[in-house]
Amino acid sequence: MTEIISIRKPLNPNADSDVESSDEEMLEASLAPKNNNQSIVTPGELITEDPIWMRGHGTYYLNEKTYSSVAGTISKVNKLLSVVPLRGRYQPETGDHVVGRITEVGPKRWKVDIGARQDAALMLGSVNLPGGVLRRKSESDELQMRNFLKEGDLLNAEVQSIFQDGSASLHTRSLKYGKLRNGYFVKVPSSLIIRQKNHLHELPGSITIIIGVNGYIWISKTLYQHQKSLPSTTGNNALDSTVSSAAAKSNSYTPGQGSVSITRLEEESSWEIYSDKNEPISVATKDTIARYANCVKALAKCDIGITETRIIAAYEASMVYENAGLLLDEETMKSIGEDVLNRERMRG
Amino acid sequence: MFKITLSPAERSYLHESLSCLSPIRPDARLNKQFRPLEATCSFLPGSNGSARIRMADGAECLASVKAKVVSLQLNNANSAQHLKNLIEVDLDINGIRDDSNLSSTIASSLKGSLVKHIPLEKLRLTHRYAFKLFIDIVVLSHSSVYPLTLLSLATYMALKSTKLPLLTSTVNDRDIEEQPMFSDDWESSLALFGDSSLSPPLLFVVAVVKDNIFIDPSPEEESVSENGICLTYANGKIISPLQTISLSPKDNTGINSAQILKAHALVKEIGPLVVKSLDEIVSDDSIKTIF
Amino acid sequence: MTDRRRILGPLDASPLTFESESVISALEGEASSKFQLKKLHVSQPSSGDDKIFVDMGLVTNCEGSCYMEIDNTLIQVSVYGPRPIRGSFIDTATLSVECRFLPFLTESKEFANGNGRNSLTEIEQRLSSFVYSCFVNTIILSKYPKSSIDIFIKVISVDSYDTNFIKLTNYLVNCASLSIVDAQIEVKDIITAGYIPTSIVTSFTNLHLPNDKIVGLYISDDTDAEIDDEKVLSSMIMECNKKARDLRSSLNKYLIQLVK
Repeated sequence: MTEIISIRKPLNPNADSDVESSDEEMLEASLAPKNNNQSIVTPGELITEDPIWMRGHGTYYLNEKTYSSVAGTISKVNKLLSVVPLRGRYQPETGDHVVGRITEVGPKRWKVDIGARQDAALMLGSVNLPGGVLRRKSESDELQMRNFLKEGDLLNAEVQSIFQDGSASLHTRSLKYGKLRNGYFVKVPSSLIIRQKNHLHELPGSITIIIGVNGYIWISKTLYQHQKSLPSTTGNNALDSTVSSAAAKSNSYTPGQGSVSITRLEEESSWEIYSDKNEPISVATKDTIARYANCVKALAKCDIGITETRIIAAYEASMVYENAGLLLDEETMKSIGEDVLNRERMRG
Repeated sequence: MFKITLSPAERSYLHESLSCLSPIRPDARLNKQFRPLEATCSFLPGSNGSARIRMADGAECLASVKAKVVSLQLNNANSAQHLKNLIEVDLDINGIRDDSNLSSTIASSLKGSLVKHIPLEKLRLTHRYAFKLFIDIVVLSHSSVYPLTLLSLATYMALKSTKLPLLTSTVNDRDIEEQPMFSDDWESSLALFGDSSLSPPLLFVVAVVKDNIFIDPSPEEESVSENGICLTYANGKIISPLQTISLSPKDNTGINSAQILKAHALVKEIGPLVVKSLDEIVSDDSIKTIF
Repeated sequence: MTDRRRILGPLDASPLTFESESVISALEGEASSKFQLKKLHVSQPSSGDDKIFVDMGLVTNCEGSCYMEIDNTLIQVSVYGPRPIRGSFIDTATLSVECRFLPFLTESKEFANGNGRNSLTEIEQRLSSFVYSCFVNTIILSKYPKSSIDIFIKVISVDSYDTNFIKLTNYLVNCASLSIVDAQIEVKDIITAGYIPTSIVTSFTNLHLPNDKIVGLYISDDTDAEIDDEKVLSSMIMECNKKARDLRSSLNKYLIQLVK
């Protein structure tokens, strides 16, 4: 029965006001371990009367008192006082690894939606063009920009710099950046993504995930197999079988194909990097991708910060449900979220 | 119209996943599985029947049924036509103009099927008076190209939860005109569909990709689908209207009758289950005293 | 630069003059003889009663047009495009279909939308969207990036007011199909529609393949047929398919004859 349709009643149908729901969110956020020691302020709340503090983002100054202008946590860096909003649009920072979608092809630049207040710019000069790194861009490149990237295309990139108006300038001048293929796109609030050294991870089941700092996540098939030991999982047959089947398939790949050094950029950087064609993807891999996507959605639903280890934990927890479609249910999502947090507590 | 843009690689990935022998939907649902819903009934104190339904992605629809006593203009020539006029459907989809093509086609397909499946004789109060039902449907937000499924689920629940006050005055006013009087006691009200053999119709939009049929397609599934079919289900049967709709202007191919029959079978299979879970919500919520 | 054509009128316009009675009758005679000459019956053999008069390319300021007469039902379809659109880039053409009844037809309450004639009535909308859904599947829109194709349908007169306009819808699809041919827009196939009286319209492309594809199907709510039964449903579809096929072969003959 629940396999077909699940309808539940709203939690509080008669007094379901916005105020309450935001309270709930804040309550949850305050329960999340990372916020344990930080106090939460709401807009208009007095932060300090001490004029010694420098006022940063999310604050304003009135009658020698500092107030919060957003709902969020107070952050103090030396003498700089700012409020980091709990929710809100992604604020790009230089060096962020982001996933974006082309919205417009303009003169010498692409406009990219990265979930920030303004679309980011990707200059024609900041991408690898077919033919190698040292190739000069010519007028013909300007005319065929749509052959490289066009409206709707997904790519991952790094934030190169921030313009005066707060919008970002991107670049894809590395082989780990560029057009995205062979996978599925999921969007989560950017506040759930924790900035880390590495945002590209390989997950069990020969899946690669790019967790964009902006909350755009790309889950795709791993194109090459690292002979890297997978994190020791429990004796989960279903997982093991997918891994082994994927490993068996990977034999057809030339080993070492994945380790592309910057010196080989020239050879690798052919038209292939702008292809729209997917590799053949097995049904099992597609199934795994869908399951990972649902796990990510479940973590987001529970307001749990999204990291590689948590995604793997959620994936393992989700194996209880044979039909990954059941993960869409709110109760199930909650239990997966609790499971993930419990595991973390156990590990310490 | 809500448009979602997908890159060619995403499109082909989705299309391929949906068209293989054992299709994989992007959210791993079964082909006949709905997205989780949240619903409540009888929550509008000023309406005779109401329902609210919400999807996890924020799509939300409200439906309200209000009954008003009207006097029947009596010319026996076309009383059937008159009874038809006792039902009025008003549809408002947020972000879409009321006179737009989408809005008016959805309204007309809904109206057509409703008129035939509401027990009109129950609306008839006396010789001179009858209830007129005003069915107002508001789609607060939606992501689908064709939000008919959501809308029809809400309308179903609103109609099922509709209660009409009990008439206390005389039924026969053929000779003497008399204003109809009603019982104050809401306990003794009559459910519109109480003991009727009729049941409000449900309209399902299914997406067709190759030989696979998908119920409740998500926006990205819609945009890679080859075709859409809208089917109506009531009383355990597939009924008319049945029509094809285009869910996406891209990659469309025609369909063949085998696919239509497949969709037919699918809706026939899930129909009773949907009705059952909707009815559970309706009967749960009907206990609530709201007046 | 303003568009002066709006003020000056078309180049080949001739001023309105009032002729004497005799000239008018002479002109009318001439017109009717021309009419007879052009007249070409496309018959729909299976239904028997449908004698169709078709003429293509009557409207000169559009890319393609078709005029159709079935008893007293008069339809005229004109196709504009593909023409360029302004604004952001799109990789396929956008299709729009607008169906209007001539104002004098809308005296009947069924058509009127009460407040003026600015927006389409519900029936017009439904007909438009049906024709749209048929052609969006047929026209190869990806061949025309950054352009739009507009189909304008004028219903000049309607013979019988069947409540759901099944017959009319059927004719509209066929007429629009011919005007698309006249406009030489690339299509997957010429689509034709067939109907049965218990209110159903289907449009088929005859892709010369064993299984025809349906691009539009509409079973209206006033059918009495038990479509719950799969057999009934498929036989209804089959019957319409047959009619559409028959019409298609007549149209093929007509078009070949036209070229000769």
